Amino acid sequence: MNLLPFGVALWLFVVGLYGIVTSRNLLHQIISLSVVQASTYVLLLAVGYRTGGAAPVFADIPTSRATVDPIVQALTLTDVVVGATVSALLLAVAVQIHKRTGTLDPENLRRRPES
Amino acid sequence: MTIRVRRVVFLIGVGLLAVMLARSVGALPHFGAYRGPYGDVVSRASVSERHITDVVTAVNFDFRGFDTLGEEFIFFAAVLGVALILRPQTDEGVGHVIDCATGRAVPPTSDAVRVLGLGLTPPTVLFGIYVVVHGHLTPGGGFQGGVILATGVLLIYLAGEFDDLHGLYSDSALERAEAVGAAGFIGLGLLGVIAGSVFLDNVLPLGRTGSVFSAGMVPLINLSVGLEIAAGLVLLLTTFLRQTIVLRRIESPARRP
Amino acid sequence: MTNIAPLPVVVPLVGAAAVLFAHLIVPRRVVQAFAMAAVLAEICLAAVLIHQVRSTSIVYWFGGWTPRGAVALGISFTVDQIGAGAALLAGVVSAAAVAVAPSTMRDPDGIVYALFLTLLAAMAGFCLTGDLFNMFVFFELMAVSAFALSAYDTRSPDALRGALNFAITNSIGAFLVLIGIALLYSSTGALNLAQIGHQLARTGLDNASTVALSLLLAGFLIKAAVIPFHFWLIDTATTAPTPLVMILAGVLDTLGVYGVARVYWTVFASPLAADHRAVQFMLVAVGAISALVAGTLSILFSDPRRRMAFVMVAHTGIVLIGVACLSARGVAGAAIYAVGDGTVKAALFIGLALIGFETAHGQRQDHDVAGSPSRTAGLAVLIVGGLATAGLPLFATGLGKASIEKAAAVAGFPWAVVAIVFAAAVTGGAVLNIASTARRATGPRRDEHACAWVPQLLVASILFGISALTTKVGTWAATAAGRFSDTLAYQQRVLSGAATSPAGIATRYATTFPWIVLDLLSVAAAIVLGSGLAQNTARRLSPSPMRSGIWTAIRRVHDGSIGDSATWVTLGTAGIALVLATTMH
Repeated sequence: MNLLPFGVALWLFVVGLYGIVTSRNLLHQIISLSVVQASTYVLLLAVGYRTGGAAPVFADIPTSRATVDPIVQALTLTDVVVGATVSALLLAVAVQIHKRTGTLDPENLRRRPES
Repeated sequence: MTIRVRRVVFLIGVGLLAVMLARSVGALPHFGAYRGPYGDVVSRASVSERHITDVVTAVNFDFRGFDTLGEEFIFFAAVLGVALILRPQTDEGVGHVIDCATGRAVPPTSDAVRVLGLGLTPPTVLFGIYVVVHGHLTPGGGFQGGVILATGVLLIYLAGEFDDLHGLYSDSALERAEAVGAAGFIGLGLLGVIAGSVFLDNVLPLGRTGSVFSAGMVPLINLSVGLEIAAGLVLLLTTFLRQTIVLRRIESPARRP
Repeated sequence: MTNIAPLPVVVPLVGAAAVLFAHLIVPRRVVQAFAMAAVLAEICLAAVLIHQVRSTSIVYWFGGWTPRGAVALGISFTVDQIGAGAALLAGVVSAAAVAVAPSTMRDPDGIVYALFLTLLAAMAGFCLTGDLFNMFVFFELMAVSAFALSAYDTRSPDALRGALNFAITNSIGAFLVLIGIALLYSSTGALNLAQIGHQLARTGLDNASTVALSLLLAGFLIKAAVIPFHFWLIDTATTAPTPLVMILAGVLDTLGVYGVARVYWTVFASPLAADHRAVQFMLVAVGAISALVAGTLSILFSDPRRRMAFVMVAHTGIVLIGVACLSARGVAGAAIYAVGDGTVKAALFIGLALIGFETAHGQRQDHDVAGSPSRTAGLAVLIVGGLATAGLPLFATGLGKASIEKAAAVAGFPWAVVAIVFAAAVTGGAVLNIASTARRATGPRRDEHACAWVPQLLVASILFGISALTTKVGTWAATAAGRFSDTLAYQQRVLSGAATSPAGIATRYATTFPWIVLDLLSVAAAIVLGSGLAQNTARRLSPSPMRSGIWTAIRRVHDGSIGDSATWVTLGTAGIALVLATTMH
């Protein structure tokens, strides 16, 4: 059984999470979140693949031809838009944080101990 | 937790989770053996019932159009959010464009970049419009084409300076264009309701498969979404650029922690 | 008239687009009034929907794509009473938030109202939909809108960090949900909740669907912010603007538990039938731990906003216990409690604003006392709210709490009853304590917008009134819960359009004697705690170094580190997956 696509998805997921957990730079943390998201793209597309299937566009092939699953491709498109917009928002916040505190290190942003 | 402790705790947790996920993959159908009925039924129905040859667009804008409406508004909310977060504060003002990195004045754009940028802009915009309009025939659609259109505008900034970009569209014009694009999708959806059917029903004439004027409402929805994405992305770009290049703090700079 | 189903989502979205179009040319007051009108329209539409679904659920197929041979082609809105009721609650709390926005946020831009409208549309869509991926899309729209609003105070690094924590933790939760959806889609070939459930009932659960269940539970519980996924909420609720925190407290957390309930009953209830005890135990334990630990921490911290954040976590734990009993009785109790408690919590945040505890520039202003009618109004709100939080039977919190306790006892979890009573007492005491310590604070009077307290007090009173009125809906809740937990009827209604008669009603909802006693016990304990007697005695009795060591550790754990939050999320998810994997075979 071809496990490579699932392995890639799992690896991306783990690496992205590791990046978020151990990061010392906000931009790195935000991009690690995008890596976690990339793992969901790979998983979705792997789930819908059909060996020997054509792309689900019938402009130049007969409708009787077997194609890969178009549903997961549509889901991935939605996922990409969502990911891009969340990244944009996070980066905007990062820009403001840098402007206000001069630091991009999440460890320096932790709340000062008070009661 | 300190970073060292955190790393250890995290590795234990993610190791467990990875093992579970790997086991779950073993129970799935093999890679390449997609068997489910949903995709095949949709592929068959897309051409025969809706005259759409790009099944992914059919899924996005017809079968599961309501998801795409939600996705369009996620984009809408995110652009609004960026405009809100990067809005000029009362202690900031517009200054001259300077080079943030070294404090020098911005060097003038080289002629090569200028020619290339201006030369590439019309084909890019044309290509973007092509991708938007042909979304129901070949891979493409409102989202993809809208991004290409926004890239065309970005080329103008690269070929010139920030003031050139800012002079082209005011923020309010972009916001209005985005609002029209977003509301357009809903309006087209309501056409179905007005025609006596349900929301997002494809009630316009379906035309001949393979021609641009086919597939009923889908090309119109593509145009609406393309407008929204293009306007939204240009607004996003201008907001980020304004924040980094042009806005200056009027009073003293932030204290270092 | 069946075309009403998508309108609670469509109307606020159109409103948001209209606000964006006109906000630069139209005065602020008009924008606020328009947004309010859109929210009120949504409330009316949700109310009409509740009336329309009183005998059978509405199944609305978008694009006219009805299912063919039990394969769903399009997206369905499957509206039942609980879903429409949740959409109504979202509208009510949003109306309260929009009403107090100008007086509690610094100079809200027109864009702010557009974001409140998209947030409302997303919440309504999440509750009404019958498609799993559609739930994910609205989940993300909720997250994006709320996140943008929580970063509103861009001058405060604490607010910005709170917003980042919110976004990153909730995004990880959303990706977990998406991976779960991918696994379920691969196993069953469907995205429609009823169809997935139908398929799983035929084939039973395997490794993939069990892991998918764990991931979906984890993702929704992150949104619900129960322990150990609560760190983002403590951070955000302390620093975000008041209207957003009202919505977070009033309805957004409950929607996480709603997601758990909806996915469980439509998809996993039938195949899980023999193993459901494990899921029950795990979820009741999570709810009880949240109630106990967050309740205790709410008294120990002294910043009012932080206290309220822990109260939110504790009460969501109580709602989770209700749902976790996996019975119609539990769902009915959880529904009543969620409505009654959500409105009260939203009112309490107004109370905090009235007293003058609005955080600005990340600094607390607890010595900055507002003008005295505002302060008196705030104290009144806090005292009434505190009693309601503890479970005064006058409000739906008392009735709901009693119903959940009864459901937990019937399901065989008497220790959960103890946790609920303790949590209600302690959280009520924490709120009352805010009122008593506020009274003793003095300081320079803050320059206050003269009559801002009048609309705020009015809104808070309306919220309390709604909570009191909800005590009348016991029978309705029982019927609604009966239909919500009837998996087979749901699947038949969606896939073949058959309207079946509602399942047997669970029970009458008179608050019976033993449960009222527990309510009054909680209220009495809350009053004692609230006056500060217990803390002073405890402080004198317990040894100092040990107490300060534990206390420092607790504070450091809650210091808003994003990496920490992500680590706890990973651990929690792995834990849930481990429990389900080992108990399922």
